[in-house]
Amino acid sequence: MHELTLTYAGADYLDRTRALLDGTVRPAGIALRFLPFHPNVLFRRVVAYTEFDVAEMSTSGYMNLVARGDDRYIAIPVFLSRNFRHGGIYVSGASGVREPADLKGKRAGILEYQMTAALWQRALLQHEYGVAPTDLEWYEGPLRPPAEGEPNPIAAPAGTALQHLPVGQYLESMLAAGELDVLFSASRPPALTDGSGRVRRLFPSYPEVEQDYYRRTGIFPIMHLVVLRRALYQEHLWIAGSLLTAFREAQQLGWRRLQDTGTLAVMLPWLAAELEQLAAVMGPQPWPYGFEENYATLSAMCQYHHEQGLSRERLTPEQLFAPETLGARRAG
Amino acid sequence: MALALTLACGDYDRTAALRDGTVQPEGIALRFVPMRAGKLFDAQAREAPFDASEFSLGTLIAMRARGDDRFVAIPVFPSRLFRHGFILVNAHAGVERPQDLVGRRVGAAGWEQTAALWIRAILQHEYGVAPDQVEWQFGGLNAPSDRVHPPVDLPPGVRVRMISPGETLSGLLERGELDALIHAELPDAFKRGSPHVRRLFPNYREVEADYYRHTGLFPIMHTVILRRELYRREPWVAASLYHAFQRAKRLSDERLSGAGALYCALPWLTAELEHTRQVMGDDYWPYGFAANRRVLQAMAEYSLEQGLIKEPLDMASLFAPETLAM
Repeated sequence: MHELTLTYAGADYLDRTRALLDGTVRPAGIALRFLPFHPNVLFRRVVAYTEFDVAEMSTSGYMNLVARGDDRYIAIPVFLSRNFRHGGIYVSGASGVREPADLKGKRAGILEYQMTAALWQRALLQHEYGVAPTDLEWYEGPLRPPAEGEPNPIAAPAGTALQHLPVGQYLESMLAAGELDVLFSASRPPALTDGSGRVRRLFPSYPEVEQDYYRRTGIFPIMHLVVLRRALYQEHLWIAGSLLTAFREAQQLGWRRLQDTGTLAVMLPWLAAELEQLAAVMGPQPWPYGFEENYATLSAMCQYHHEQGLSRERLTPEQLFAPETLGARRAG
Repeated sequence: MALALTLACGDYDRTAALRDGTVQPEGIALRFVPMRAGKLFDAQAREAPFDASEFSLGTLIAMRARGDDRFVAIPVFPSRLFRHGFILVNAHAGVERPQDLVGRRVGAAGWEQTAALWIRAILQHEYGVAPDQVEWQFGGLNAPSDRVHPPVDLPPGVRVRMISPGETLSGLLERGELDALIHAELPDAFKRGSPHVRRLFPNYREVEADYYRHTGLFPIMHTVILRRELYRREPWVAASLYHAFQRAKRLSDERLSGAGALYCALPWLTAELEHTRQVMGDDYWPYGFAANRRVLQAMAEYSLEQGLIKEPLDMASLFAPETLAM
């Protein structure tokens, strides 16, 4: 039997991709060579080169490519990373920022203006709290030394004050020193927990705020999806469906293991309580893959991407994914 | 040339790097066999097919007392769990507080299960309900089991009987033919949301955190054992494996703590970790003998009280001496 050998570059997620990494789940017809990666480094390579057959990718980064007519990739509706992001807005103690409205006119730090976490954070400030992206001054740069290469290049959206930090300056230390007022980040700045009080969360009770956001909007923000090299996909259309099925199986296996709380799959003593509370807020399957299941969230992302000036024309969810993965109704 | 060694262990974040080979124990070519706890422990206790494995610490203590000396442990604890949340009651039995269990019918898998050891100790030392104040019924949890053997040498006054063949603990609890149930796993009746079954402590999370705050105990369930015959030939293996388990745990800890993308599918993972560290400190799941001296000592005392052992046991004697200083 001649399987198609494909390279897959992606992060090693215990309960979503482990089974693909260790070979418990094998996509039909495909011998998958899994290259474990840290996402940030990976996304820059996916944009800069075309090294991998299949890769985890930033959703916003992928939308940037599509928006500028770069059609090297086609996505499948596998959403490897999702995250509520209210908790990832950090303010300097010296900033005097108490509530979202106080952010107007403030200096904001960001690793990459275009990154998906920031897309969601700007959207929630705009739509939940009436603070537009153009109400802030943006500084793009590395979080901490060492700087990991250049950020993904984008044209500054019209009307947005966006500057790059000079070499040798870092967002997390600037926030701690009060040289920035707010940092939008996917990782926690050390000064948040060093006891100094120099940095705190904009939403200290963020789990409640995020749960309320979910109850009202039904949105669990999508961060990463999976892309295929378009040339390869066009040659073997079937791989889109085969990979989607395999990613689903791997996720189901991981989810079942997590639910089996007689022994703890992860080192969280109160995993069972956390799962029970999660089910109460988000239902039995809080993390759906699939196009139809995520249509409203994907539509919102297209809207935000356009509103924030990252895509000149508003993209549609349909144009982002392989037709074989849209489901019967959408594919028509 | 590296020593080929087979390790059977459950599927955990803290052992994932051993399974995929990211972490290699020094001098050892490790073959990692993922296996579920119950089945694995039975196989090891009977034929010891694996050079090394995860193993029930309660059973290891009981084996030692029976003079079964085939294994030596290393102070690695792949499974730990608070157990207040694993005490289930029939919703109509009128069991509101632990003290209401006195005189009641309580189901369990057997006497040696580590979870049962801890739950009996919690009932006795936290709530004053001793093992001889309830009527024990042993059997399979969700499927009839022939694995369960009537225990030998129970402490005086402890009353035990086996449930009828074909019955399950879960079914009996749901029908009210048991008043309560203690087990390492949750019964199916509870998992499918039966209105007849509930936890004794619905707020178990708070109760367990409070238990940790006043006792400092995070119950150990499983340890890792080596075939003693192998260990005698190659005594360095104990420390080599210990260090590898430590490295694998550290890697997993870093991933779990990385807030960028969620290592497991819990949207509020970061908040949960922050809460856990607030209650239990940063190093809340330590390996090593010294770091676990008190919890191990507690298990020795409970084992003696509950008749798993007849003489006081120095827990250090279960572990390879080369690993005791770690």
